[in-house]
This record gives sequence, C-alpha cells and structure tokens, in this order.
Amino acid sequence: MNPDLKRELGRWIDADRSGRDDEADAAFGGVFRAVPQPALQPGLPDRVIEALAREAADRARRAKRAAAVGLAAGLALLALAGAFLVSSGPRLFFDAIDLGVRGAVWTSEALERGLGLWAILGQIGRVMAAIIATPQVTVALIGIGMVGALALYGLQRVLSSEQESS
Amino acid sequence: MTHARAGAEPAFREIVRRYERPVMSLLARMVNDPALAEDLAQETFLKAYRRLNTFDTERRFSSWLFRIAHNTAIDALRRRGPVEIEPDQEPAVPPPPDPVEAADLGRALDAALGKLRPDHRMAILLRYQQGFSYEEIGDAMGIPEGTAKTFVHRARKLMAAALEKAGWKPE
Repeated sequence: MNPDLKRELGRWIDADRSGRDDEADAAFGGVFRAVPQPALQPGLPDRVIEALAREAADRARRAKRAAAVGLAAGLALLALAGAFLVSSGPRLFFDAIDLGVRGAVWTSEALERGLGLWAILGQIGRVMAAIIATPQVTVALIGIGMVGALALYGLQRVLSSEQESS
Repeated sequence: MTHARAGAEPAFREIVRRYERPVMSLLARMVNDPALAEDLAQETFLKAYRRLNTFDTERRFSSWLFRIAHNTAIDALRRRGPVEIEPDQEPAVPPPPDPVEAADLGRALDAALGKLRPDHRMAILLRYQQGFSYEEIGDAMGIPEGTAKTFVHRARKLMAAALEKAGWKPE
C-alpha cells in the first residue's frame, strides 16, 4: 500500500482514538480517497431530458383533457338551461310579473305594518319555494345539479392525476 | 443557471452533465445498489428541474441539489425498509497480507460506510467525497451546523472502530 496512505490510516485512527478531531478530520480525508468510485452508466443527461419531455407531453395531454371535460360540461349546462327556458319561458315570464306585483303589494303592506327582516325573508322564501316546487323546475334543477357534479368530479379526477404524476 | 430556470433544456442538460458523477456517487453509496442509485439520480434531477424556480441563487447550487438527493435517498431507504445485519455476519473486509493495496483499504472503508446510519453516512460522504464544510453539510441535510459536525465525528469514530475490529490496526 502507498506508505502515505498507511501513515494517514494510522494517524486517523490514532487521532480519533485520542480525541484530536482536526487531525483525525484531515487524516481521514486522505484515507477516504482510497474508497472506490462507483461506476457511472453513460446517458443519464439524455434519460433525464427524455423524462422531462415525457412529463411535458403528459401535462399537455391532461390539460387538453381537462379543457375538454370543462367544455363538455359547460355545453351540457347551457343546453339544459336553454331547454328549460324554452319549455317554461312563457310561464316563467307570467310568474315573474305576478311575483313582481304581489311582491310590491306585500312589501308596501309589510312596511305599513312594520314587519321585521325575518318575516320579509320568510315570505321571499315561501314565494321562491312555490315557484321551484313544480315538476318542470325541480327536474331541470336536479339535471343541472347532476351535470355540474359530474363535471366537478371529472375535473377533480383529471387534476388529481396530474398532481400525482408531478 | 438562469437559462435552466427559464426552462431551457440544453442548460439543464449541462447541469445534469456537471453534477451526475457527484450525485451518482453519493446515491450509490447511500443505497448500496447501483441500479437503484441510477433511478434515484434521475428522480433527483427531475425534482430539481421542477423546483428550479424555488432555488435561492444566494445559496450554493450543489448544497441545494444534494439536499434533494439526500431526501430522495432517505425516501428510498424508508420504502425499502431496514436492512438487518447480524453482528457476526457483518461484511467486514480484513486486511490482506503485506503488501497491502489501497483497493483493499477502500473496500474495507466502503463496507464500514455501508454499516453507518443513513444520516451519518450522508454526512461523511458530503464531507469527504464532496469536500463540504460543516455549514454546507447542515444546509444540504437540513440540520444545524453543530449537528452536522457531531454526525461526521461520530460516523468517523464508528468507521475507525469497524476497521480496527476487522483487523486494520494503526502502525
């Protein structure tokens, strides 16, 4: 063995044994050079860059999928809302006029009688419930809610798979 | 570095080329499995690329990169679970008859290194393989400078004891 290495080995072990930390540090530095270097496989930079390109492509694909899901959900919501308005448009129009008139009369009466905020809110709630509690509106609202929930679920799946892979 | 942070692949390829050997050496010794070390080196550089915008340019790049490598290695060792070594079956490398070759001592040191706790092993590698100061070791491992010094000191003593036990006596 290299005599210097042999001497450094002795110096390190002796210095560490007797608590001479700085000397042990220096001597061990010399001894440590004897530790074999692990073999390096060629091509790591290429593999890293290829993996980065694959990741970027995956990200783009997921973004496209998320956009497609969002667009489909938006279109479905629009279609449902359109169908609902077309089917119940005239009725909604007359309901709105009726609601406006009754609301104005009731509000003026309420102001005269000095009703509280909760009484006014309660009355508004009852009127809204009367409009919503028809089969047409209920079905339409449930349909819109389901499409919205499905769209949210789809988006959540797409986004979570993207998070897992990053 | 500026080009790499802006997402320029050739600049990042240059970074990988520059640091692949130290990162690979560190990981190979940490996990003692060349194939796994290759995968972990790739994972380290991918993580580094994704986090380049969080790198503080006031810090030393190698400390930042080795911190990622360290965390990646620790995660891999946790996934793999503890490797139990029976005291009587320790892979000690005894000294051969004279003339003693440096390679034999290297293998004995490597075996002693493999028996250290992962954080002690990392501290030794950063200190004597990468030439880091205690402050830089602390920065790379996310520990105070004093703890880094204690890790190196303890690890060196354990290695000395392991070598002596294997028959490597000082002159």
